[in-house]
Amino acid sequence: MHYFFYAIALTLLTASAANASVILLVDSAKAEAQSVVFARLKSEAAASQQKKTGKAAPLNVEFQEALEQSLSEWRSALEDAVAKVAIANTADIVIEPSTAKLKGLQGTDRTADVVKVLDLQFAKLKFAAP
Amino acid sequence: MNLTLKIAQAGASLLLLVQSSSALLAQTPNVGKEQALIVDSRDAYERVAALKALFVEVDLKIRAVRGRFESAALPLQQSLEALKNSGQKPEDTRKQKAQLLIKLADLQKAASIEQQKIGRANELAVAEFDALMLKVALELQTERGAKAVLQAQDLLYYRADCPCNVTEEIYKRINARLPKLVLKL
Repeated sequence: MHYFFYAIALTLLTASAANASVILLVDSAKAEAQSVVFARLKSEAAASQQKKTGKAAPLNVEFQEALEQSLSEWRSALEDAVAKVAIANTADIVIEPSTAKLKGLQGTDRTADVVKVLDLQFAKLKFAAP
Repeated sequence: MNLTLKIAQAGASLLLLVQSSSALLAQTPNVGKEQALIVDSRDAYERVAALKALFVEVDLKIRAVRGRFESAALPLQQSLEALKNSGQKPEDTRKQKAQLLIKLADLQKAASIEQQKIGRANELAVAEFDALMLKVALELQTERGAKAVLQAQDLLYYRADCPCNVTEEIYKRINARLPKLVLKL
């Protein structure tokens, strides 16, 4: 008898889960801050400027632009990385945590997963000195 | 007696299970009702017939204003050109030129006012569409018990075939309720 009711409860639970929308949260600003590649490129830019001008910081316009150029490769791949993580987690929606908060929504933070995908993809990306 | 006891036991088990299931559903954010609905209204101008027709009408009216201005301005511009090439001294034609330029400026101003009126009427008509879009979205939110309706452009990703994507339903309802948007000039 007990098994019968367990089965009913499980069916109810599964049916509800099937209709639910799975929401993931990805904080793009936090992703940049967490990225090892990002940090490395910044260090490479500073070292490169140090070598050329004798001063590591702050980056001058020329080196800042070169750094932004290198970082933009990582940034432009963010959308694909988010989609990859979303598909792997069978998610329906991925939003910034700020949007989720604004709309009163809850979700699982997968920023770290997105960073992993991107850092792996750009593990060999080097700072291109101006 | 034995049967009554079994029924009571079964009832208690069921109650316990329903309670624990509800508690589990409440604790798990992604389980239960759809949290959010998605609307991708980026192609609304193509998908909503009234909106599409409105833009065709606006375009025609703007072209008509431009056409009327050009037809009225052409003889004035030709007269100006003729004065320039007449061989007369500039001081002799100054007054005529000034009159022609004033007429041209008046025409330009009138055309600009007409275009602004069309622009404002267009904005009002689009606002009517926006209001209905919002109303329909809220209706669907209530019907589905969702917490929010999200615009696709505010998302980092959404699954195109997600049941939470209500774009098609919204277009369907809008097209049924809004057969035409009137340009109130």
